[in-house]
Amino acid sequence: MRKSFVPAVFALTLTAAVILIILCFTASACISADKDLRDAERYRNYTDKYYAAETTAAEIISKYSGSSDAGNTSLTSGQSGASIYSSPQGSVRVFRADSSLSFSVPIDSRRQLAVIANASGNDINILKWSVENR
Amino acid sequence: MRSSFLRKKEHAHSFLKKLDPTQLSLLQLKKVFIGLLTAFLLISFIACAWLYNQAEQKSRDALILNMSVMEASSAAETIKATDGSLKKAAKLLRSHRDYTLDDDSLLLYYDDEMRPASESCAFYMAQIRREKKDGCYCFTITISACVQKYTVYELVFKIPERG
Repeated sequence: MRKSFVPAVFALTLTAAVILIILCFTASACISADKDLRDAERYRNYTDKYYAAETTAAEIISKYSGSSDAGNTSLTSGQSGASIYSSPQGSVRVFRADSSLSFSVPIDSRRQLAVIANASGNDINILKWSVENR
Repeated sequence: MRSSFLRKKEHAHSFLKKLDPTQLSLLQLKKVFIGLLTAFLLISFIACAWLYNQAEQKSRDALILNMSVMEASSAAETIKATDGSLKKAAKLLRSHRDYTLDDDSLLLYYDDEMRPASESCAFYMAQIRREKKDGCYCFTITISACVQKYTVYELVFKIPERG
């Protein structure tokens, strides 16, 4: 009885140890995959925020170039000076001199989309369109 | 008579041996040990399989989400470069040989690894819809699974309408 018992226990213990090692590797693979998924979601959120800022920039250009009647602004097209444009990202200060426009739309707490454009009617010329640190 | 007495004595002795408390507890201990090890092996095996499945699923979800975001933003930049013309955008997206183009919508097809594919073997598809709104073109890019009918990613953006 004892002779047959010892190798059986040894084999079982060895298998348990191997399975424990495999379990550790699988757990680390799961943690790594979870991190990948969180990174992908962070990338998606950033892309969403960037394109939301781009949408606001397009609305502002469209509004100030005079091709749109929509928007929440106190400055009408053709005027010079600064005005505030209300957007989902918050209030955007828009500077206008003749047909030139400049403004920065917040993307997140650290970055913003800076835009300089010449816009007159349907003729829109983008001079600057870049992501900058706030 | 004597041999019968001896047999009875041996029988009693073996019976007493069986009832030896130390011997009994050792046997029970061995059984408990083997039982515990077997249970541990079973639970570990199930946990391994479950964790592996979870890791595989999460890894695949992450890959598909990353690829979807990349494909959607790539299509968005192509559309911006063509001033909102879906016809020109479809021609510029050269890796897509098979697409469905309407006046205000464009359908692109992908296989299960998010590579451009034909409509017949498509696993995912990107639907690009265009609306004219307040002097802007409003685009919605929806990437969804063809069979399971769930949305993987949706991107909405606007570009100013140019003359």
